[in-house]
Order: sequence, then structure tokens, then C-alpha cells
Amino acid sequence: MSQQRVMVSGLGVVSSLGIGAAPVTAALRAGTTGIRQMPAMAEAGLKCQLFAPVADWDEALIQPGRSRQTMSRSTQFAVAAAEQALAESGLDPSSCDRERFGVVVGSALSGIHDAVATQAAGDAPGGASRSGVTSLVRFISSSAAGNLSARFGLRGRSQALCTGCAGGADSIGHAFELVANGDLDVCLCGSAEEDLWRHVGLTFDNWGAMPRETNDDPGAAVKPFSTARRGFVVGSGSGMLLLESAAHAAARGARVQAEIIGYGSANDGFDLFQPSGEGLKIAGAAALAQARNLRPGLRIAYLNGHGAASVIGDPLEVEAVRTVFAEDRPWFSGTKPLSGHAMGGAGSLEAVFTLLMMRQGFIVPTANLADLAPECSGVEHVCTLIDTPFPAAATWNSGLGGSNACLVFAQP
Amino acid sequence: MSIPARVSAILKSQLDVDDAKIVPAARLRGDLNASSIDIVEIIAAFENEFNITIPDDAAQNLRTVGDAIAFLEKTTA
Repeated sequence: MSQQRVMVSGLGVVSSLGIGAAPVTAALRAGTTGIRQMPAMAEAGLKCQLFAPVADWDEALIQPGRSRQTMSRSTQFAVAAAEQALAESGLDPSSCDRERFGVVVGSALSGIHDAVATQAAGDAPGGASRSGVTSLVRFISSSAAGNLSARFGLRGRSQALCTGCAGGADSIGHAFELVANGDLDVCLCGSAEEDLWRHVGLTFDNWGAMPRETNDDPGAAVKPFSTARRGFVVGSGSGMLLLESAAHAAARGARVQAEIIGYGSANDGFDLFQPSGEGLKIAGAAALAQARNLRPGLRIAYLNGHGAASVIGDPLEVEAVRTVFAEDRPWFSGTKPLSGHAMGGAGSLEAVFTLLMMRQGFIVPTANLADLAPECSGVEHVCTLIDTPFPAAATWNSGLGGSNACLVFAQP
Repeated sequence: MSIPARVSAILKSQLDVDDAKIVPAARLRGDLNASSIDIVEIIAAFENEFNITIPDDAAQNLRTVGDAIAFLEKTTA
């Protein structure tokens, strides 16, 4: 089958900035942060006591209640976001060829709370039987993909792609390739992460990778590309997209929102903790080359950066922007000071943020960037809100384990 | 909370059924639509709630809501 063009016909978001496109768009425009001070983190002795929980989460969003038995919190986030994406698209899964309707959902540590609780029950004297059985399908890595496939009767490929903090972008990218290559007509894709401050947060806190001096000022805690950058704050949530081949969307008269025109993915091949920047350049260059091939002459006007406020990573990321996007010189900003860093959920959340900005014609500035670090200069940092329509945008992420992935979206 | 009320709360949570259906004569499988997986979860929930261990042969005899209440009242007396 020849290459198919791949459209985004719906999106959904569950995040610290809100649940649903409208509140999240408003929070992005207003520069509102979802980061909160957490007394429980202080009690546990963490030096950084900030976290970005999903705003106003209510598990009753997932109905029927009994269906929650097989869902970790992470999976619940993914299901809620996927239902938004489906509703936006106007697509009824039962009207499709469901053998050609797939799911790809990534996560860094899906269902870890259920895994820990199951082990704790089993560790208690005589407690083996108290752990029950349904926790198994809550903590397997493919829980979100499996739940979504069962929920909507989807019989196409159903996969979990786990590449750390690049997992969201990789999951969308992989789904893009499946639709582009003609393996699927439709795919729900994205990523999700539940509250991980007790797990990931502890280790990053021990590493000194989270800010320690701003516990009483959550909005000022994360300072990407600044001389005062001291790391990120852990967050949570899910972003989900409904991808559809252009032919499938046209056949049902769908109003598509965007087209995916590029995806690249690469590993640094260097170190588990420290990035080298090389994989990000390779992933970005591959995505950009594909985008230029599909839509020659189209300018990538905006790049949503990883911007983890990392002392080492931020300059490497900026160097990658200078190298990969030398021709386009896109406006460049990061949204983690607002949303927190949702680990495996970050890539899909930032893809959704990028799409919302492209849909509404604005670009969020990097918050807390009053004092740009010299080693992070030489790119088009966005320091105040820009109101303008733009034709195309990219987003990229880097993750532990050396993973990197980049996506390019265009107006349809 | 009484044992019947605690049993009712567990069944309501696990099976997502109306309170009105949780009566002593209700069969877990036949009337409340519990699957084999649900039964394992319910037994585990009873063990956690009442801090007891329920042997397999006793668990197999818990067919109705009334069976469960009677067993738990006897075991925790």
C-alpha cells in the first residue's frame, strides 16, 4: 500500500492544567502553573516538595465503575483522554473496521502503585491471597492499550511503547507510522503517567535533579534555560490523539485538526543518566527531513522543547535546536514550568499543548526565563506570549536511557 | 459498621451493583453477576477488611450474600 497521509482528528488531555482542551488552552494562555506544594513530600523528607497532580481528578469520569477494576490510575487518565479524543473526532468505533483500528499507549511506570500494593500485601505474613488478581492487569505495561482495545472492541495492533520520557512522542510517532504504512486506518495513541513522586520523585530528589529552594513558590520552581535552573517538578496525566488516514477521514467527512508530517526517534548510545544531545539531533533531523519531503517549503514556526531545566541537558538541547533547525529558526519554548514533567506522559501532553497552540494561534512563553543562561542562547526563545496563526510546529523529548523522539505537526 | 454493612460495601464496590440487589438470598454469581475473577477479589477484600485468612474450601462455600455474612460473623466472633 502506498504511503498514507496521517491526520489528527481528535485530541484529549488529562493534566495538572486541567481536564479537556478548553481549560488546558486557557491555562496555557494565562501561564497558570499546575505545580503544587505537597505536605506529604515534606513529611517523607524530600528536599523538593513540589508535584503537579492532575487537576480536579474524579475517577467517576470512568464509567461504568466496574470497568475501573482493571485500570491503574495511569490507565484511567489514558481512558479519559482517549474518550475526549474520540468525542472530538466524532468517530464511533463501532462504525469502523475494528481490525484496522489500533492503540499505542506508552508509559514510563504504568501502574506502579498497584504493583507496590500487591507486593506489600504478599509480603505480610499469610497475606499472599489478599493481593487478589485484578491488580495484575492494572500494573502490566500494556494495561492502557489493553483496556482501550477491550473497551471499544478494537482488534488492530494494541501496543505499549516504553521509552521513558520520550515514550509519549514515540507512541504517537509509532502510531503515525502504522497509519502511514497502511497497517491501520485509525489509531488511538499517546501516553499516560500516574502520580510518581514517591518513586521517580524520590530518586530524582536524591540525584539533586529537582528544585529545592522554591517549595513556597511553585510557579517559580522550574526555570528552563535560565542561569538559575535547578531541575524539573514531577507531574502526571495523559495526552491522547486520534490519528486517522486522510482517506478514512475524508470518507466520513471528518473535520481534521492537523496532519502529522514528521517523526524521528534515536538513542544517544551513550549513558543511562546523562544525555549527549546526539540522539536528539538525529531524531530531530529525521523528523524534519520527513516533514520537508511531505510538505516542501513549509516553515516549522514553533518548537515545543523538552526544557527539563536540567543543568546539563538544557544546553545540549539548545545546541540541538541550533543544529537541526538552523534554516527554520523556530520560536522555541518549554511548558514544564506550567504542567510539571509527567515522565512518560510528557511527550503526549506536550504534543497536545503544541496542537492546542497551533489550533488557537498562540505560543506560550517559557516561564521564569528572566535570566537566560549564556550556554542556552542563540535560539528564538519565546519570553512573552505570541498571538499569531502558524502553519507547522514540532515537539521533542529526551528520556532516561538515552531515548529521544521528535514529532512535526502541520495545519491540515 | 455492622458485618452485613461491611459486606454490602465490599460487594457494592467490587461489583458496582445497587444496594437493593445486595440481599442475603442474592447469589454472587447468578444474581450479582460476579465472575470468577470477581470472586477472588471479593475474598481478598474480605480478608483485608476483617484481617483474616479464608481457606479455599471455605471460600468455595460462599455462594450467597447470606453465606458470606454468616461465615464472617462466625469467624470474627
